[in-house]
Amino acid sequence: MSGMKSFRFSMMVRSAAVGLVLLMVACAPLASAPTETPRPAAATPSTAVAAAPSGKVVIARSGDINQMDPHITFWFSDGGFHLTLFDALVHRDNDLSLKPGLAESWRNQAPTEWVFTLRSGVAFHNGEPFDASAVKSNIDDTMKRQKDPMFGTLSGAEVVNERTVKITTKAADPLLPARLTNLVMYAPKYFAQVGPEEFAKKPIGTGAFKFVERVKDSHVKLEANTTYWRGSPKIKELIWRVIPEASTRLSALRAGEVDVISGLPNESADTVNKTQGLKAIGAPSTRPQFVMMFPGSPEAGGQAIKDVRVRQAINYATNVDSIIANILGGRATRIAGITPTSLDGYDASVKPYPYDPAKAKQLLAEAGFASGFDLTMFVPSGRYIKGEDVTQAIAADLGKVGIKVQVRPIESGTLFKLRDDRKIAPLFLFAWGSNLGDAGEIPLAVLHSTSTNAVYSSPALDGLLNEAGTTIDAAARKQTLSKLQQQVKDEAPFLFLYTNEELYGVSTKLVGWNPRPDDRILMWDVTLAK
Amino acid sequence: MLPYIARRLIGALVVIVLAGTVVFGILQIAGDPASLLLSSGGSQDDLARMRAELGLDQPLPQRYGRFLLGVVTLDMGDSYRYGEPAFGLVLERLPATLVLALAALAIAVVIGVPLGVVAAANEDSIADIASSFFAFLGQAAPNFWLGAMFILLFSVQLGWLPTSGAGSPWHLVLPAATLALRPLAQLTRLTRSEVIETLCQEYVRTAHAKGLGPRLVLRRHVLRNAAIPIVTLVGLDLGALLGGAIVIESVFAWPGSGRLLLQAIEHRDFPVLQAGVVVLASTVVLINLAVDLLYTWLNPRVRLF
Repeated sequence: MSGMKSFRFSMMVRSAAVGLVLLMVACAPLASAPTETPRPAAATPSTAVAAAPSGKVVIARSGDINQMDPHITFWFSDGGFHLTLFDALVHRDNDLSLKPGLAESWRNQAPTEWVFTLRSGVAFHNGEPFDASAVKSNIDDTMKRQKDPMFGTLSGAEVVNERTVKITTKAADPLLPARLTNLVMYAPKYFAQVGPEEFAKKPIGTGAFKFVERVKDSHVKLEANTTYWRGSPKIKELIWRVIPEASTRLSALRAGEVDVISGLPNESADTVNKTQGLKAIGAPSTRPQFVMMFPGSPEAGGQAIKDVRVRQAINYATNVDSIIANILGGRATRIAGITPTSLDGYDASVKPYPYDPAKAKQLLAEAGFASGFDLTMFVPSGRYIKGEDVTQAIAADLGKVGIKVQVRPIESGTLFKLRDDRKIAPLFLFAWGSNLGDAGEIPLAVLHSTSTNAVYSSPALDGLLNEAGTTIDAAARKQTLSKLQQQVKDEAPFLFLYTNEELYGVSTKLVGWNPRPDDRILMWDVTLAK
Repeated sequence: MLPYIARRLIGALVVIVLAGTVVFGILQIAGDPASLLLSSGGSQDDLARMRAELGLDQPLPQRYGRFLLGVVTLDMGDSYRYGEPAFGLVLERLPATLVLALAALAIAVVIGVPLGVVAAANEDSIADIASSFFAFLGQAAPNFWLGAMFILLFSVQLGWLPTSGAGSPWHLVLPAATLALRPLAQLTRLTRSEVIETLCQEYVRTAHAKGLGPRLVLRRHVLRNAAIPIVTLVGLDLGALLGGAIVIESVFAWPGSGRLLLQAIEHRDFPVLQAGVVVLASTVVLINLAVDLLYTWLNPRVRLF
């Protein structure tokens, strides 16, 4: 071909290539629409229970376990995995109620003294006996090495006899049993023998499964502990896999490589339910989502929200139910405050702010903002489910009552730094999970005047939080917690939203497993359908 | 040659220290890792205690000195998040990234260079146009999207390959193929244009005049000379692939160092980030040195020293 013609031809070819790429990208939603992938039909579980455990279950999550050694730094997300290998003295059941674990019973015998009676006949995977001195070793080690302040109230453990341990706290701590649900017991003689580094490479506990192997950021293999004190697991092999991308996790589920995936995106739920052999199931989480307010912020609107009427107006003006239905596909539970429904001390009689734009406008007028005001709102990019969309919806709602909102996405770490430097916007989207399953915990973390997370506090709230933190009597404490929840609602230091649903994709082969509100995946009594 | 290499290695050390210093500086203003590590949201006292634990309360010159010492002794301290030595964590995961990057590069070279040569030797033919087309496609399409599409097709629909993870050569196929697409496209186009240019040279015409067959001319005279820019690109690509593997590692759950460093950024895990910069900078610098030494073999007239 001549020069000019060949130039034009190759330009045509390149344009066609561009066109094809654009076409392929546009067809992506169609390409990812599922066709019926043939899967084995879920049979009814066999009635004859096999004597020896059999079968393999693979769980895929987005993140790896941070630390195999449970006593260095505390990560709640590691807790579910740790409870596979280890047990704790106290256990939260599937509905999050406190139940005996390695301890059969406990009582508070003085404000700072608790006595635990231990289960007998329990041994660690290597045969070491579980007894009071094992508990003491674990508690001593936690006090020595554990960096997280969660266990900071511990002051010591004393062996009373082989089956009895006395645990003391620095000050009266009504939450000690709840804290101990996160303090798992490792085999102390083995730990002393091999040291922390070797222990982390091959951890030993009393749990339902024993450690086999681990490849960091890839998988952990576990096998059944047939002498487990709750009864041997029915499945032989348990594998925890790390698959960071949600779409890849879903593909792995559909290809039959994994049996349970966590962090299923809301919009994939229908896809999963329509696929034969799979189902999407969820549970309301213990992690409330809310918009924090920083009165006095240097950004637009910082002065206006100093007035409680303005903060309440913001709550009246936002149509949270609509956000849940339309942006989250119904996969969230509305809450009145920042206390999820499954926590100890949750008070259902505190009702959420109703959606009432007229009342919002009235309150704004009373506060002197009849013509509205400008407001900046930050959202940490990509951190919360549909965070950007939710903040846009809130901005639209507030716009209807005269508050002109500008939403800015900011990288998470930077956003927290701005908060620490007290430069953050007056409103920012946030969430805080519960490690202890108690209604006093989250307000303490985000509202107490000494907390690093708090950008709002008040003497009334501090008073109630302090009271809840030191009252051992359960009935009296429950009353204080109710008062606290009502006070939090009235002072409106946040725009109250919801708890997201923890969504899982599950193979129907798996029988006897349901999601827990605290995102802990426990497989002690799960079976596989034949 | 040895004095030359020694000079280059000293230069490499300077580059590594500079790169590390830049990262060190950025981290100081990037945010506080201590508050990110407090799971229960502690008080100011708790925060102060955590910062002391991590050594963040020491004055800046002291911390910088510690960092410089760490570069030389290969000890950046323990990861804030994982509690293990930072260098160990990075080095543990580096082989997986190297395997992925080298596999991708191998695919790119083994397919791209011959494709470019064929295209150049048959300029303006259907083969040439088709290879241009695919080269353009490979450079234009976003590779994380292609990766997800490959998973849907080859794993979910056809069931030929695993979706993700590592553990067998089959696990390497999709991520390496996806990562290879961009360098493959670049190499094809570069090879094609280099060979075309070389084919016009006087000495090639002389070779033909001497009576040498076209294949021999190609091999002995054309490719050797066209190779230098290609080798440069391959060297640069390897450095880029080590960094760019991050996205592919996430899509395919490939347990490499890219993912480790990405998470370390989010967690402000200073020791891991510092260790990562030192390791990656060293790798890139060493690759460049190897490429430069390779030139002298390819073209004896090139004088480096």
